[in-house]
Amino acid sequence: MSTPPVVELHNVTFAYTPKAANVLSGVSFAISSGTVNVVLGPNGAGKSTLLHLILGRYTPQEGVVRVLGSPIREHGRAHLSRLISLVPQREYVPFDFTVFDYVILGRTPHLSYLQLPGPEDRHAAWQTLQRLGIEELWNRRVTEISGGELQLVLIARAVVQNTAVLLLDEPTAHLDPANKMRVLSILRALAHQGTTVLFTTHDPESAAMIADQVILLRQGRILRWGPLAEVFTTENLSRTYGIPLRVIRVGAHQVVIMDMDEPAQEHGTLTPESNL
Amino acid sequence: MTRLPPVMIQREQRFRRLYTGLFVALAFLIGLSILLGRYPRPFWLSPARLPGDPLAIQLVWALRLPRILAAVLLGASLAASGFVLQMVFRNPLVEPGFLGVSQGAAFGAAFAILYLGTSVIVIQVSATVFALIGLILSYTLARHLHYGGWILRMILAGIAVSALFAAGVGMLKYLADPLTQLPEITFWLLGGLWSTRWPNVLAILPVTWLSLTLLYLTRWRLNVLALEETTAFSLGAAPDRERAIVIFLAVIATAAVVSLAGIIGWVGLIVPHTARRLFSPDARHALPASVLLGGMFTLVCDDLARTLTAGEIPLGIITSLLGALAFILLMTTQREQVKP
Repeated sequence: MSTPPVVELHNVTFAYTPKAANVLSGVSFAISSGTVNVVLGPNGAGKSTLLHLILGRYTPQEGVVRVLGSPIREHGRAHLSRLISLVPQREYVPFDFTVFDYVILGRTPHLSYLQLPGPEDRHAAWQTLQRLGIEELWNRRVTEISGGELQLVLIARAVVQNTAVLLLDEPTAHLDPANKMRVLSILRALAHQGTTVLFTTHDPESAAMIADQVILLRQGRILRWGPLAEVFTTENLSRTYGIPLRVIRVGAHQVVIMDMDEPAQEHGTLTPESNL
Repeated sequence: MTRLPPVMIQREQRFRRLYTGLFVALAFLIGLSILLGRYPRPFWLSPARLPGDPLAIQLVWALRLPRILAAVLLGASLAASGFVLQMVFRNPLVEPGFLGVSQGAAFGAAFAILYLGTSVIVIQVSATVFALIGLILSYTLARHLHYGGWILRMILAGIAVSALFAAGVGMLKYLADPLTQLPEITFWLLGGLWSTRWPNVLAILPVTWLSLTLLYLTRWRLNVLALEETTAFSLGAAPDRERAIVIFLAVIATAAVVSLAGIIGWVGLIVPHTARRLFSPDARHALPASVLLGGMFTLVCDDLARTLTAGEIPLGIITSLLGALAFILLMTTQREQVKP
């Protein structure tokens, strides 16, 4: 608790247009250095929007997003791209770049406007491919590799960016169990090496496997946030998803199952406000 | 530092050899084109003849050289422009001719001939303004179409806007003086370089040179702009502003060469495809390769246009013929993934 938060949101409210309903309302939480943080919530809860706000892509109507203590605007776009990187949920690539040429694009924030990547950038990219265990893919076309491999390539591009914070939008959404394990263990390892990881998912399992901290989001509001052990409970998860879920401990792990015995309405009708 | 794998270094070396090859080929083609023509007899002017033949020297200097330079600039600009538009619109199927740019420029040129006088600068500015209007219209329309994906919508919008400008050109032709203005306008629609002299080439040289140089310098940014909006943003780019800048550069180069040569189709589509095939989609390699290959392609086409027959075959017909054939060949054997 001694280290100051790397990213801090204070009472953030956001709507895409002034007249539209708020996508996020009064969102506040903080994440600290070298931790894995998971934003958990059903589809449409505002998870991706939250990432875009931290990235500085959108500006909140109310409240403030702080990165390393300073409001996001004070960082400037170029500087921010050396602090925060993003792995998008899915990326359509219209040209058949090789994996290596694609990953080295992550060096852009460290180059001046007209500068081309040099030998150090090539080495950084190669090292990252090795670190993620995908160096044998380097000369393959990004249009030809599997979905799981592309996810690793997108992560590699963000890692090459060498930022303090790594944001990932549903990094495990389209992966089979083996690839999911691989991605999650990479994220765990990155956090161990000092990167602050924040990812969104609608899958509680991913959170349970590696999260230090969990942020529960429902209908644009935070239900609970805090350490995994405190927040990841049967009651909180059921409220988040509006269906009866049950958290079971299996050895050192927590497993979430759908509780088919309980009627769904009981949780479905709960509004986030009433639980705050 | 870790060691890069030898294959990666071999790839760099292969690209370097390819570049050298392209430069040599372009130089060779330029030399060859000087000797190609219909004087003193069809197809060939022997270099041995040059020193003692003032007419031949005059012909080479005043007619063939400016035309050769114009052909190279034309192809280089159209190819670079096509490549840039493909990158920033994330769409391998666009080219200036598909986006209302060329038709807009032709309309602007015809409009200037009719109403603004025939000064080269005025025609060029008018062509540029209408080329930009064409692009903006296509883009705006594509955003409002309710049919198909982004790539298809841009193509459909481009077809519609091009048709509007083509109708406009038709109207201008109808209004034009059949003895003085009409032939000049018709020239834009056929496309060709037969009336190119030094002043025409020198008029477009600064614009095309500047545009190509700046695009070459920003080629790394083109890679970034080819990524999704949010990704480009997360890499520190200002996608909207940077796109606007490179699109503007591409359009002024296109408008300049269109004001010189008329509408020359397919170069901006086929050449970047070939460049990506030969090198990689990475703009560091594919953009300069497009410039070199584009210059070669139109030079060869123009050589054919002026030597094959005693008359002159319009250049646009030859580029369309060869370009469309090459395109069919590439599309049926291609690796690039195009989602309609």
